[in-house]
Amino acid sequence: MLLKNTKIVNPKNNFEDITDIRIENGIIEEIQKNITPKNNEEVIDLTGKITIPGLVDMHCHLREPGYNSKETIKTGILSAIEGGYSAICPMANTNPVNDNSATLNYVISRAKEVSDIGFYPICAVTKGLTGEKIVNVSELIANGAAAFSDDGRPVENMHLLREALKYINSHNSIIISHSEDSSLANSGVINEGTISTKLGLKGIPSITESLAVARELEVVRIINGRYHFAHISTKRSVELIRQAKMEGLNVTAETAPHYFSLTQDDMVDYDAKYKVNPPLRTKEDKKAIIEGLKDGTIDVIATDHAPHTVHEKQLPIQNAPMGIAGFETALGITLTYLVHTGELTLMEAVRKLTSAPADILKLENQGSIEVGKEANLTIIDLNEKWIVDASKFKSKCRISPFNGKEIKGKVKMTIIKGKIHIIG
Amino acid sequence: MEHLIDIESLTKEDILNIINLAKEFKNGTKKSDVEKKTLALMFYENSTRTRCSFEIAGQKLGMNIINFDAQHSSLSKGESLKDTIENLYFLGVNAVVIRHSLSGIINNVMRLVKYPIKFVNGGDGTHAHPSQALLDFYTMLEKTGSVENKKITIVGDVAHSRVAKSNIALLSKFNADIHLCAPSYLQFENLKAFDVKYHQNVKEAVNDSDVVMVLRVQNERHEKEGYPESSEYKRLYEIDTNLLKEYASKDVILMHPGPANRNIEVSSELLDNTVGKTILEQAQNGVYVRMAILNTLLNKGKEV
Repeated sequence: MLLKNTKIVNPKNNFEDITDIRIENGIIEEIQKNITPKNNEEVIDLTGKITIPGLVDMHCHLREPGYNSKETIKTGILSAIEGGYSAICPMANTNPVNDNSATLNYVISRAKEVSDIGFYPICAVTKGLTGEKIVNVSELIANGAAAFSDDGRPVENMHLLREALKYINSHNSIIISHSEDSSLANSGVINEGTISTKLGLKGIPSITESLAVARELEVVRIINGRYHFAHISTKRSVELIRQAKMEGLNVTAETAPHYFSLTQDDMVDYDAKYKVNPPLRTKEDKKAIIEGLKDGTIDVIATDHAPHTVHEKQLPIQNAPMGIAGFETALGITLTYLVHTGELTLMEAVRKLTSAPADILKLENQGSIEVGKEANLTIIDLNEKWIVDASKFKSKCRISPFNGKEIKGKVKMTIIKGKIHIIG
Repeated sequence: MEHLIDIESLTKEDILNIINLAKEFKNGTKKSDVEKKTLALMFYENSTRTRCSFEIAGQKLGMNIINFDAQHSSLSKGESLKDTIENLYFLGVNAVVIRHSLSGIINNVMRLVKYPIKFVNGGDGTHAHPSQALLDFYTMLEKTGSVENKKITIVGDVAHSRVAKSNIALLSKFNADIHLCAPSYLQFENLKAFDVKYHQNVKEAVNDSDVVMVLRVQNERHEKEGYPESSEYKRLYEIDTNLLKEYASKDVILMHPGPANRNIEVSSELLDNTVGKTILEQAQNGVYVRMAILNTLLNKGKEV
């Protein structure tokens, strides 16, 4: 198969040029200008389209096993492909929790039944996400765990965090931190600030996050650990991580599209479709997140795809669960709010969606367009405008804070191991 | 004015129309435009005066009143508020007054209900209590003629008070000089949320006040973590005769949305003397203001 006349944007080697790509048996065979088609070779003209590495999501929730009414591995994968993802890393907070080889093997085999998508589960740090006993790290890595996280809950016992991080790092893997001080979060609903006070909703102060980031950085510092911060949402967290990186700590960080596109000001009508954890913050926080993305403090844009049923998201905001669908809007939101606004170059934005997460998790066949590697590619139209219609999502979570928003930049094809999925 | 959810979504004109209509109802020059319409009172939280006030207002307007038994409703069987309200609409209910412990629940349910039933917020969580603010305003106007540049001081459990928030929203529109007084643990979480003056010292707050509005201090809160005992509050913040005499304006109006905790936020003696009588007049005005609210919402419905 020959992809003709496409502009490649490949952050791994900072390559940006119009060329052709030959794919055979799911592998990239050739990247050259003006490749002559072989006899009977399928040729796809991609003039005007951009080819980037398949998107890599290091943070999502597929809900299976246990919460199949919210999402299944199948609907989750179809949603990810629709969003341009060739690799996804589902979190462990299912029921049963993905803290054992049987559950891990189950989710991997369910994913294989659906698709060839790169499927790299994150296992729990502690059994049952209780923060008490460390999982069998080496066994889970041998069975395919990509990293470890109690995401959805913080690890609040600093002794345990220190021991877990030492052990997980010694197996060349990392902890992904859900940084939250639960005594401060205290069943809050939205960011603590002028809006929470006006609305009479219990606030989640921003130090809920930055306090946890600060103390975890101290743990990372004394053991010289490798550590990743999930879904960073506040200005102060960005400052702390920036400082830590300057001091040479081996930490990385991600944010999610809603933290650089939405704020607490969007929540004035008590609509739980905006309810996420951490909560949407202030304009100032949003600005700091964008600064962090620009100066490299924040390495990765992850979706934190956290689906729930439409009914659950229509409950009174206090009772509705936290989390929103993310796969099918992530690229469009990134292009609209970061690239078309001039905050990031396309190369830098693509890096945060592809090679950066692939490098952090050491995913061999993901995040780069290279001869000899699997053909995991996403074809985009940088300028195509479209309106988000959540009712058409492949995800079961057909409700979104971006519903009705005009987006500039669209996924046209997701190519997984050479197999083309036409999008839209 | 399509519904009454909060004060913020009303214009000054909406507010003055209600005040004027209430005046006409009070002096008997106005007849009901909404006879035989049906009103459902859905009170999911305890209330005596708001519920009775709406019920009497509805009766005086010749409406049919359904006192929805929230405690034993199908909501307790898991039915959503949306489904309950849509059912009531099909049973012929034209308007609902909802009192609920969750802030914003009416905003939520209005988004989901697909039929043209009228919503009145009878107090939602710590968000808003617009009919209370309207009747407070009515009472202030009746007593003083205008609130412009009048010093109005609200003392008590500000943090959890929907009454305070709706009063701030309303009085701001009419350029009152608004002061809030509470100990730190009962003050708003975020002081920038409202453009008012904040005090910790009650004497300073009450000084030269034209209106002192005392809020109920919920005893049960003092049982919780992070709060001192209620005697600590009483010691520093109780409003009594001497305090008003010494510091407030000589024609000060004392208000309280009720129910009062005697000898905690306000002295028993003060409540029982003539200054305290305004509080009863306040409750009485509530009926006329609520007649005006219901008549405005449902009369408008008829034109459409």
